[in-house]
Parts: sequence; structure tokens; C-alpha cells
Amino acid sequence: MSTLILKNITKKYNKDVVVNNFNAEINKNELVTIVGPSGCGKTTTLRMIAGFIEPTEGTISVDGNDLVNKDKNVFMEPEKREIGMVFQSYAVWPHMNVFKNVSYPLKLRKVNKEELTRRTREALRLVHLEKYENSFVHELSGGQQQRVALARALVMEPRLLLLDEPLSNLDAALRETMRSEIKEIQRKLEVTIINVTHDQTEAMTMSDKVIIMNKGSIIQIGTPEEIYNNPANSFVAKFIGSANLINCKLVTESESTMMVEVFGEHLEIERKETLNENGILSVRPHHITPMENSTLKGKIIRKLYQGDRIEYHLQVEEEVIRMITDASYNYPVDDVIGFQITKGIWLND
Amino acid sequence: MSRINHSPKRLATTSFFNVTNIVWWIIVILVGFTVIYPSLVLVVKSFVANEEFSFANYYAIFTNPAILKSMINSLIVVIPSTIISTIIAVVLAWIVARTNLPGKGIWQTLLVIPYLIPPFIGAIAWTYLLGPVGFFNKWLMNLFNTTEPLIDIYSIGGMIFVMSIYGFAIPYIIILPTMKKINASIEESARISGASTFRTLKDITIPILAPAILGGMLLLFMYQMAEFGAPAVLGAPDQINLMTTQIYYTILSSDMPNHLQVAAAQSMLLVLLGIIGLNIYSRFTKSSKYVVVSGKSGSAEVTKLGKYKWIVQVFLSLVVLVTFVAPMLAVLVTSISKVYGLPVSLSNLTLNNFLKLFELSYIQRSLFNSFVLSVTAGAVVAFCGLIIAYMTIRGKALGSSLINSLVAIPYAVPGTIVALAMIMTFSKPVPIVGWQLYGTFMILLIAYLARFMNLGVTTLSGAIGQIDPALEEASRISGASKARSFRDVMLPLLRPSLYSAFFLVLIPALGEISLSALLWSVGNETIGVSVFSTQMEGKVLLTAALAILLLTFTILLNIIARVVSRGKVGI
Repeated sequence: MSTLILKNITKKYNKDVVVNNFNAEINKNELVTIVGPSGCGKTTTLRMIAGFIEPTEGTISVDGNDLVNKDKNVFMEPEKREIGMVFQSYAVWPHMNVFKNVSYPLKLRKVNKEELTRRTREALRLVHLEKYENSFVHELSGGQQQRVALARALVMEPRLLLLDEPLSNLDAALRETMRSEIKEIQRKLEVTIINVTHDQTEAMTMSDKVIIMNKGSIIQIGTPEEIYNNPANSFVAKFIGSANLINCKLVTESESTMMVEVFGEHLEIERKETLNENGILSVRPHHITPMENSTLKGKIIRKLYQGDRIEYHLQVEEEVIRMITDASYNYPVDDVIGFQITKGIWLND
Repeated sequence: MSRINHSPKRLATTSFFNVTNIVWWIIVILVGFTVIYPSLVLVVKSFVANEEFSFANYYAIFTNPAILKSMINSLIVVIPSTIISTIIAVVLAWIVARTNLPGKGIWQTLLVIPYLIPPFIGAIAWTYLLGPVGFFNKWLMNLFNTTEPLIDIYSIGGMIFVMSIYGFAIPYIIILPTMKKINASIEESARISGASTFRTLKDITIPILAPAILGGMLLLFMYQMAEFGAPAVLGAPDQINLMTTQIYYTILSSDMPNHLQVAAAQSMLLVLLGIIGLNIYSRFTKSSKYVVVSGKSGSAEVTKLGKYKWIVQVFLSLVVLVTFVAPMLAVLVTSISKVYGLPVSLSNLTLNNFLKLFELSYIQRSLFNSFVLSVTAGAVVAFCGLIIAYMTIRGKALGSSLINSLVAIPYAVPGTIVALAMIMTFSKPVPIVGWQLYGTFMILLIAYLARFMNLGVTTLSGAIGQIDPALEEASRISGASKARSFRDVMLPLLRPSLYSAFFLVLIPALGEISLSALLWSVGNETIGVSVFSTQMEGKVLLTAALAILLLTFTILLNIIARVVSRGKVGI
């Protein structure tokens, strides 16, 4: 059963279309990440769900109740929506201590004092801040402030939790810890989470479902695997997992495969519906491997040593393609080497 | 999750919207009544002579010799004093920010104290030193064995001197932060590129500081053109008038045809000058050059003073002596003297002057009036400033940015002009409601509100601008209404700034002179008016006692302000 449904959501500022006809159904207890480059409309979408921005058109509903319905002129104020939200800047109130910050949503709901204390402490335990009840913001690190914000968003047991780039201000190591903690909290509390990020790694590692946006529109919705293995177009292929995009030509099609011409060589790949003769072949850097007697040749123009693996940039005809090998393949720059493409995906655009 | 009430609510009907709307419209009306209406009247009347449209008033100001003279006098006084003040300010800012001067903290406080002294009090103080029977003049006369006073403070030179002393605080306050913020790496990169210390100063440091220095200088120029108190005190005996004092006398010369309208035309010149100045100033402050210094506070290399340390200390002591110690001592000694002009001795000391102050009913009234006026103006301005700033920045309310720029006008133009606008607007009963405001306490209050409203708006705009909008949004999403979020999040965070705004109005309002000098009436005197009139009547000892009283209040309030605003206001 779907909890959150966004139907035909469009946001225009005068003639600028910021979000264009956004349609999505988000299931209960799912962690969905909206990902895209900055300015793609992902934060606007999240803020429309929260109620800070009113859409120009469309409907947003939770469990069949409209949060906003432009056809019926319904708009629910953010404070009525029972949604938890963690802001990019954390937005922990500097004039209240940690306990006051976290208990505030309960205070507004006139929860009695005993229950308020119990549930606040529970939320603080969940984010490992039970020892910081009386601390103030300026005494906390960025990561701890983040946890306060998370506890505050969770304390009233919302049906929906919105995360607005919550990890972007944290350092790499802390980001990884928080990612798994958020995931764990989600499993424990069975809360639906919508996360917004521009970081594709974060989108891929945390999410049950990923929504990829560009220039205000949804490009693709799917599980991380689907998106990685079957990108809808070259934008997705490049944005998620940074693929090589090589021009190719369709030669023959069979029932399950298709034969394409790449750099003058034939290559058999999985069949995709197409009406075009020319397409783009998306090849992951690790699907390009060295092969001594291959007819495909490339000149190494750059070599980036990464410890357990090496990234090579190969000049092949007019194009530069990236190849990732394990560290045992060690070639000097300027060498011309043979390589093969082990897997590729046909893209129409 | 069962506690949730899902019933959706229609937009724009919550009670908060209604309350805000009412409050907002009250403020719009208040600003309209105190600022917009009088401004329009002033502009329109400047084009009216003998009840019909004409340029006669403008013709009059360029043909009347006294008025022409006042324009020239203004430039002769203001240009040199602005330059002198700015030079002093740059040197002082450099010493404080960029040298290893010992006891910097104390010097920093001592150097900005003159900012607290109302310039007309400073001017009065210097008459006790450099007037015909002033302490310093007498000492010089003894020294050179003459019977004629060597220095005459009641002159153009005297005005330049006093205005320079009480003006340098403005550019100093603007230049100092920039001077402090210059990032060491900017200068170090010049040094590493091969520039000498001097070349670095010439090619890097001074160009970076230029916008701040020029900006401070420009602001001071406008401030000095608008100054009324000091030139009024020093120019009165010999009828030396600057533009502001000339406007004052034009307003008072009721035998002159269309005198108010001519004064309005004169005012328009100063207003025009103010608008041009403010425009250039805002261009300075928005100049991209500021980007270089807006980063983290600098760790600039300080210049080691070494053997020059003592010279610098003597220089600073001299500045403090001239701006503060000597004049204030002169006022203090005068205020406890039995007879003015006699040498200081124990037999000439008394506290009677202070006692006499409280025997005079108009002085008692003026103390009471000034307190009521200042406290009311401070509170109203802080509250309106909060609402106007919030509505402009967060609410984007109808007409809010217009209101925001309109309230800047009465603060940017000389107080004398604000007073003139009030006289012209309220000398007849207000249309429709029929209130007779001229000659009442209310006209003073309206003038004070119009004059100081800008302080509230700018203080709170600055504060609100620094508060992350997400703090309020976090409260909304937690379940608080707009009103509740404002109360629980914004108000506590803005409290120190509200106090700041209150005191920023209270302190100058207490010693206000340029508005009060024209708008007072019997029964509605202010402290400034009392000081001014006792001075004009030659009651030197009473004036000094009253000045001491005013200074004591100012300093006490400053200390209180500093405490309650957590260091945001006050010295």
C-alpha cells in the first residue's frame, strides 16, 4: 500500500518551471532518495511535501488524505502535516538545550510531562546522545547537531521523515556512519523516509528506491540496482556510476541480443527496444579490460593510481574512455594497449 | 501515529493572518502618518508661494545673501573638518588594529567615548575652555601677558575644530573592522611576490581599505552637513550660520514672506545632497572590493612599535585629552563653580547649581518629558522595527520594502528638516480627524518616531538576516503555527537586538536637540532645549550642571545597554 502519493506536481515561479509534472508513489517504510544535480528541483519537491512551498498544480496525499490539492484548493499548513524533517543546516535552536530542542514537538502536542521526558530520552538514546541532554548547540559538533535534529524529527513518531541533504555538511567518515545509522533507525521505527541529496553514492547505498531528477523532471525511478544496470538515458548513466558514453551503430537484432558497431568492431549486447540506427553505448569503466591481442587499441594518456586499483584514460580514435583495472595491470603512460569491452548498454539518448 | 488529525485546512484563514494583518496595517498607517505624509507636505510646499505653484522659494534661496552665505559657510566648515576627522580616524584605526600597542583594550574604549557626547554638549564644553573667559584662553593670556583672548571659539575655525573632534568616531567605527579583517595572507602574498613593506601598503593595503575610508568619509560629510547643535552653539554670538542653522532662523523669521516655504526649499537642497550621498555610499559598501576582506577575521601581522611606542601613547593620550578629558573636566568644574570665569579654588566650589536645577520648574519638566519621549520612542521603534524588518525579510508583506526604504529618509536628512516638515504638516489640524498637534507633546513624539524609526528597522533587519530561516521552518514542521514559531524561536533569538534597538534610540533621544529646538512649547520642553536655552541666556553655571546631568544619564544608560544587549550596543 502506498503512503505518499505525488500527482502531477508542478511548481512555477512566474514562467520558470522548477518542478515539472512530478509523479511518484512512495510505499510505507521505504527509504526513497531523490537525487540530481543542484538546481534540479529536488529540494523544491521536498519542501512542497513539507508544506513550505505551495505547488502551482497537483496533489500530494498521505494515506489517502490530501496535504495539498490544487484542484480542490486544499492546503494544509506544515504544522498540521505530522511530518518530521531534518534540515541541511540542522536548524537546532541555539537558545534551547538538547532536551528542549528534542522535546519541543511533544510540548506542542501537550504530551504530559512524564511521557514527554520518557519519549525525549528514548529519541536521544536512538541517536546516541543520552549524555548530552543539557548541552547547548555551540557545545556540540556538527555530527552531534545532526543527531539532535534527527531526534527532534523522530520524537513525535511521524509517518514520514524528510531529510534535506542531511549529510552534506559532515566529513566523509562521519557521513558513512550516519548513513548506516539512519538506515538502521528506519528499520527499527518503520518510518517512511524521503531523502534528498546530490551525492550519488549516498543515494545508491541507503535507498530502497531512487528518483533521479534533472532540470525539474523525473528521469528515472527504480531500485539502485535497476538504475545502475539499466540507466534510462545517458544522463543517468553518467550521473550514477560515471559511465563511458561511446557512439555506436546498430548492426543486427535478435530476440534477446543486439549487435552494435563500436570503434569499428562488432559487439554483442543485451537487446533494447529502439527505432534508431545510431545510439550511445554506456560502458562502466570496470567493464573495459586490457586484452593483449585485441584489435581495439588505445593510448594511455593519464594514469590515476588508487591503491587497490588503477584508473587509465585511453585515447581511442577521437574519444577518451576510462578503464579501471586492479593494481596488477601496470602500464606506463603513452603505451598503446589492447582492450576489450565486456559489457555495455544501448541508450537511445 | 493515531493522534493525527488529518482534516485539511483552507489557506489564509488562520487567526494569525488576521492579527498580523491588523498589526501590519497599524504600522503602515503609523509610518504613513509620521514619515510619508510630512515628507510629501515638505516637498510640495517648497513649490508653493503665496498659495500658488511657483519656483519663487528656490529663486529666493539663491538670491538671499544670508542663505547663500550659509551654503558657503557649510562647505568651508564641513569639508576641512571631515578631512581632519578621517585622517585622525585612519591613524587611530591603524594603531588599534595593526600595531602591538600595549593596553589596546582600554584605548579602544577611550577612543570611542566622544561618540557618546552629543556634539552640542561638546561645543558648550569647549566654550568653557576657549571662550573669551575660558580656562585655556585665560591661561594663554597669562602666558603671553595680553588682555585680549588669543583664541575665539565662536568662529568658523572654532566650528571646524569642535566638529573634527566629535566627528572622527564615525569613520573610525567604519574603518576599524575592515582594518582588522585584512587577511594576513593578502599582504603576505604581496611580500612573497617581492614587494617591500611600503610597496605592500601602497599597492595592497590602502586600495583594499579605500572603500571603507571613502565610505566613512562620505557618511561623516553627510552627518556634518546635517549637524545642528554644535554650529548653533558656536555660531550664535557672531551670527555665523551653516545651512542647518540658517534653516532654523528662516523658520523663526516670521516677518519674512513665505518663510516656511523658503526654509522648505533650502531643505530640499540638503535632502538632495543626502540622497546623492547615500546612493554613493551604498555603492561603496556593495563594492566587490569588500569581498576580499569579508572572510574570516584576520590574523594580520602587527607592526612592532618598538621605540615609537611612547610617541604613539602620547598621541593617543592627547586625542583622549582633547576629545574627552579636557572638555568634560571643564564642564564639571564649571558646574560646581560659584562664579564662572574665576580661577579654580576651593572657595569657588559649590553644589548649589545642581540644587538650583531642581528648583526651576521648566527644567524638571524637561527632564520628565525627555525621559517619557525617549522611552516611548525607544519601545515603539523597537517594536515597529521588529515587525517591519520581519515582514520585509520573511513575510514579504505588501509594500514592506517600500516602507523599509521610506523610514530611512528622516534619519538621513538633518533633524531640522524633519522638524520643519512636522511644523508644516501639523500646524493646522489634521484633516478628517481634526487633531491639533502643533504645540503639543504629541508632535515631539511623532517627530522622534519618524526620526529614529530607521534605527529599529536596520538593527532588527541585520539580526533577522542572520537567523537561518530553517530555524523557524523546523519549528513549523514540529507542529507550531506561524505565531507560535515566532514566539518560541524568533523572539528569544531577537531579544538582545530588541534591547539594542531600544537603547540605540533612547540614548540619542535623551540629548536630542535639532527636532526639539523647533518643536518644543511651554510645558513641553526637553533636556536639549533646556541646555540650549540656558546657554543662550548666558546662564553658564546652570548649563554646565544640566550638561553634567545629561552626560551622567547617557553614560549610565550606555553601561546598561551594553549589559542587556550582550555587548551589541554601547561602548
